[in-house]
Amino acid sequence: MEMKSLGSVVKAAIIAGVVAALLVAIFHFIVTEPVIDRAIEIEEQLTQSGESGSYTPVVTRDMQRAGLFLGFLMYGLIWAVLFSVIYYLVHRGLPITATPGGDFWLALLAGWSVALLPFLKYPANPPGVGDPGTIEYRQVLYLSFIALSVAATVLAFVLHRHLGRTRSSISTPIKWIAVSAAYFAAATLLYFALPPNPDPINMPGDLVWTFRVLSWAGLAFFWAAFAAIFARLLKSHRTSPAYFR
Amino acid sequence: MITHVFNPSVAEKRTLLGAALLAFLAFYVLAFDQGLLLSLVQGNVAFDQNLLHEITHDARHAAGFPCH
Repeated sequence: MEMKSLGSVVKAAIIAGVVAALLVAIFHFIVTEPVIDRAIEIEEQLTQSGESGSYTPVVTRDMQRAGLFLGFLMYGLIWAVLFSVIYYLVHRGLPITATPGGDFWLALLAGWSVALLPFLKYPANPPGVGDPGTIEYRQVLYLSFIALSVAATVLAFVLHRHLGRTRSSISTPIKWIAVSAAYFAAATLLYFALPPNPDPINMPGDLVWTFRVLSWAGLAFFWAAFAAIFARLLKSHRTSPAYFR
Repeated sequence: MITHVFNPSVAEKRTLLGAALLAFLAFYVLAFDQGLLLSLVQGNVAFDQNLLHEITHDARHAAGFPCH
């Protein structure tokens, strides 16, 4: 049985989270910030023509640009800690962590569950889109989706384990197809069962879609980098060869 | 068949729980706070200033969290 120490797991995850976060923040700083600036310009035009803008911001745009780095650093650290806590608790019972590339796919699957799939249902919007009156409702929807998405992934693992124990005659490919199909069905159900974002899109479509593509690319990049660095660092910590159940 | 009975030590359990709680708090600050946290020290002005929201603004948008 393979054992990894808590320290080695946390260290690998935190280094991976910080490096991936800095890379994605640099990407957004260069590529996405101009889009955000354009969106804020349009937002200001819209609010000026509507109501009198007596609002003076306490945080300047430059501080918000610095906040991009702070925010993603937090993002990287938060998921690094949460992922390593879960990983440490369950990795002994997950044969996938003992296979080559297993840690990478596991981390990527975590990112898919908590960020990339929720994004497909509730895509990011640039500044200017979003009704302050519905923010709490949208936050509840978003959190619920993450929770249910994680639950679907956990259930897929439980099903995989269950099939392995009770139906040992099933070949590995068939087992994978069954588990993938069940997960796909659950994810699709989830996608259509939850209510959509209620807010109207009152910004130019190309701006919104450019922003969404860049945001999704940033998240995909973050999780791919996190998974790759985490797996690589943890591999060098391996104390015993892979075990087979 | 191996049954994976895994029992972290008490110290490890505390570390794991503490780390997870801290991460959830940070997640709230990064992605969800609309002034509530700072209103504990700032009072009602925190909801207008919305300082944490404004500072994490660009990352919130880019990471796909609900905003505004």
